[in-house]
Amino acid sequence: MAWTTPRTWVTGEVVTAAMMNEQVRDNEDYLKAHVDAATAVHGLGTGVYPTGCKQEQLRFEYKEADVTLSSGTEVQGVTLTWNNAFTTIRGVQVATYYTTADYNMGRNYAYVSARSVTGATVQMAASGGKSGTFTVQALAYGV
Amino acid sequence: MIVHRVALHMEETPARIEISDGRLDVTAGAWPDLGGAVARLPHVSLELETSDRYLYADRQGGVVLSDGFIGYGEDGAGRPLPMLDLLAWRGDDEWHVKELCNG
Repeated sequence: MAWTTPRTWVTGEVVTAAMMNEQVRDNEDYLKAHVDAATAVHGLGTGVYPTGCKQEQLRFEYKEADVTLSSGTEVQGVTLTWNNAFTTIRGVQVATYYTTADYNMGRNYAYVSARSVTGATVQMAASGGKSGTFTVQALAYGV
Repeated sequence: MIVHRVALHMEETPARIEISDGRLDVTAGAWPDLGGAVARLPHVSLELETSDRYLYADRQGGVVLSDGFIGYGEDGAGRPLPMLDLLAWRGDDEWHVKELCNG
């Protein structure tokens, strides 16, 4: 159904069925089809929305998990799984969340040691930081 | 056993992993790979060693048990690694397994 530029109506104009069908019915059908297409992106589960640009629509997944270190030189990893598998994964960004201000946190470094279409493994490096329980946050993006 | 469900749409029946009483059972089926490719995992049934900590699918069509961590998936530049995916891993006292849900 093609889009028709909306008509500018003039005083005393006789409106025909053909004009109403073109201006109201056909243009509303056209708009409805576009709304439906935007909400029916293939492969996305409930609560998952696409963002991105014309070249590639990226999908995002967020996961977090607590990691407890008994000392600043202990290596601990955590594996996170995505709610919906990616077809191709483009990247995983991680951060370490800790509720108390402490200069030693500067050495509590988390990094991604592996990633796949179903999940990723994040390691806390044994870099001499604080002991305690930290929340590792991972934001994955892909298609 | 702690199950981590991952949803995906796949025509083939997904492989299924179960670990119970020190025993590993893999029901043959499909597993997603990079770029929409699909790998096939074989049927496996064996007793786990106490040192086993990680279960991988490899790109030779098999599964691999390891006591140490091995990188999996892709290398960050989109190049596939020998281990296709991590299927299961042992936490402090329990095994964690991935479960694919077709949908």
